[in-house]
Amino acid sequence: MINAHRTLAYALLLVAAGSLAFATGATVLDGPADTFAEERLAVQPADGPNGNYAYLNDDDEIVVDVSATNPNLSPDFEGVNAGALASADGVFTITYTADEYAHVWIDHEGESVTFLANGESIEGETNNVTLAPNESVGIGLSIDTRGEVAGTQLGADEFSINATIANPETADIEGDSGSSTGGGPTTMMSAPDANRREFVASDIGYGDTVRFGSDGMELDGGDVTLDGLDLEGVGNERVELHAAGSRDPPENGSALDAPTTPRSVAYLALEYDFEPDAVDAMTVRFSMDRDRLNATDTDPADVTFYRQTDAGEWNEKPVAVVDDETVRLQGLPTDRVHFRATTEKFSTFAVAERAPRFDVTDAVVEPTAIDPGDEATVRATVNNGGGAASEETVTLTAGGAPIANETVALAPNETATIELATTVEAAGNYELAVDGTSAGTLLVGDAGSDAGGDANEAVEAGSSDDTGAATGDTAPDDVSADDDPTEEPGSIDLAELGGLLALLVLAVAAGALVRRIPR
Amino acid sequence: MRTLSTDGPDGESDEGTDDESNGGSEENATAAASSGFQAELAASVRAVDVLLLLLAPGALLAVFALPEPVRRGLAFSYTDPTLATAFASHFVHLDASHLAGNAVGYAVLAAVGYALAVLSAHRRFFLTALVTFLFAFPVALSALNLAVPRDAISFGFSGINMALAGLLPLLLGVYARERFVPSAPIRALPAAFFPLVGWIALLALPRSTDGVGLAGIATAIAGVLLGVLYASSAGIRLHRSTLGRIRDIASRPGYGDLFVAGAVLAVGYPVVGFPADPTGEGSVVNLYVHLLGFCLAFIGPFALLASGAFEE
Repeated sequence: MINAHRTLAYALLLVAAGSLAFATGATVLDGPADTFAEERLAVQPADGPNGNYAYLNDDDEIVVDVSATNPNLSPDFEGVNAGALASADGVFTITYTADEYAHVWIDHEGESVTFLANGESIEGETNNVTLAPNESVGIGLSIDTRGEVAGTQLGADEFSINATIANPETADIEGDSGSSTGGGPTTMMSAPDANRREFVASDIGYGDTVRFGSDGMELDGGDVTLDGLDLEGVGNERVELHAAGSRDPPENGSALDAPTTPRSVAYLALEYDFEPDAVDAMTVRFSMDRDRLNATDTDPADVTFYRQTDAGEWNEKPVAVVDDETVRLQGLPTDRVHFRATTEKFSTFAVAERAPRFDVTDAVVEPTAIDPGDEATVRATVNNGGGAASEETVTLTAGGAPIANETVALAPNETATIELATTVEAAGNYELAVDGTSAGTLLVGDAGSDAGGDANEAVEAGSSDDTGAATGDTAPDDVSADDDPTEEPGSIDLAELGGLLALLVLAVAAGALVRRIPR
Repeated sequence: MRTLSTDGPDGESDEGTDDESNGGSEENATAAASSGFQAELAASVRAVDVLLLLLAPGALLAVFALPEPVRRGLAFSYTDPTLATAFASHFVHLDASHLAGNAVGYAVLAAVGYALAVLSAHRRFFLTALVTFLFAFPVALSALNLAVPRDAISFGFSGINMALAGLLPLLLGVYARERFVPSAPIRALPAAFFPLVGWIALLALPRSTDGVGLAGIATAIAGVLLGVLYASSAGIRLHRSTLGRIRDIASRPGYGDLFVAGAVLAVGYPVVGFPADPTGEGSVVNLYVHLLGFCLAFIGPFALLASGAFEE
């Protein structure tokens, strides 16, 4: 974001006060600070390198200045690149100095700049963070100059910091939300594309945690987004990662393939400049649009996360759904479901949905021959080899036409034996199958002339809606021939008759030839 | 070469010779015999017989000219049987190929049967049987179909055609006795019937390696054994003179050809009438009525024939 020829200058001035009103508390601040809410909120430039973007002016008002006019910056600094998406955390800090809890947020109307706390927007009351007494939160910036013209002077904007007293019952939940003081590692994020991000963190202390916000990087359009990456126990002073999201497997990569046949949703490919053991673990923060989950009838608990090993295998990693209370306290968008996946190694990842996979094995019909009107029973073993529990209907067919069904509920890796009984009225041979798995041939005898014929085509489709347990008691369904009576023509095949006539002619001709043979 | 002789009723005999120069005279004799056969056959045919023979095809065509709903209404429904449909259904065909097959089958069977009958002096026997087949068998066959209740309709002329096929062994028997083997006993004819029933079982019953599938083969073997036993009990022996007679039959133009044609039809028509796969699109060939027609057409006329009711 620095030293570009095509630049924008951007300056922000703090002029508004908050609305908090309560008893004065002790201050724990060192140095000068801008204050709000009857001096219950103190605002100071952060200690880290990004703190240079903020300073207190002559009136002790906090100023965020990302332009050449900033006296703290190098004379060469010209501003932010045009057409860029950049972020910087730890620009200034807000410290709550009273002795209760407070919800704090920033109001700001500009669209180019978003104030961030812990990688998430802090703009608007709904995105507030809760601060305990003497607790600070580091405020960063996300600057989006896409669509702006090079050389534009955006001028001064105003923003206000607001606070209200927090509900005591909920305030203490957010114990670690303000842990960032602005004095940690310096992080930079750029977005060359909607589905690509480049992260750089520097000034990392040994074992520090580095939190990258990715500003909703698209994994599957806007439905599935990467919201951030948290590196824990970083051993390097500087790390750099490049992330790319896609609906399809990355180029030169393979599609998600696991024994439980999950459905892939999106892929995340990571490239990094550090040794794998330089980072203890990584938390991948991603979210999915709630409407999309509802549309595909997906339980958030069935959303999972896979990592592809160097050998090409896909290993499932633990995923947690962020609960609603945490979503509210952290000010995360409530129209999305938020997930946290953890991994110790980095490569290509896949967001996926666990899916049930019902397989029918060992289907057998007993008895194999019955009289018309008698009942035959098909026993079949059904296994759920998928990763999600489900209730599915297993269908018995005769010659491809459904004649009975049963609904089975199975947990992952659960196996059950079901019985499907059916009564067959019409004589013939029926090829029975349960969900496509052959159960053998059922011979329905008839003293009539059509016995032994293939009656599969004459089977009339029938179905039942009965639902039973896995070893349930399916009510028998009748198998009947077509409603129209069977035609029993007394006929002979013309082609075969032609063959007989030809044989007749040959026999007579042979007799004539035999007579011509001299004796 | 050994000289074989026949003891035909006309006293004619073909004497074989090693002399190749006699070939020309043999051909002349063959041509003369053939023309004699044709002349005798033409002299035996009567116009009224031809009209009677044409009665059935005429009826088939007339019924086929009716609208299909009417024809379908004339089919014999086992769930709603009537005397009218029991008779009329055997003359009903719903499509042209069905009609053509039965009409051609009737033409061949009736023509060969009539020729065998008139040349064996059993014209009255044949015509009586034909009238019975055309007017009584339809009702009888339909009624016997009711023995197996099912939701189906039956129609078509093939049951009566199979009756003509069942009559064929009897006609061959009387023809052989008239023309080639005067001493052949009529009562031995079931010796041909049982193997033919076994042959039908072999054709019609499903074949597989399990017990049910062996029924056809078992019935065929039983039929052959019954035929041999019956022939043995009737005093028929297979010896050199019998083989000589067979050769004599084959060597007689016209008369021998007619016998061979009849024999081929007697054995070959069941192949046509009892297909291995009788199922069609939404239909099943009524093999039951075919078997009934064949068996009834042999048993009834044989009883009358054996009793001497048709000695002419």
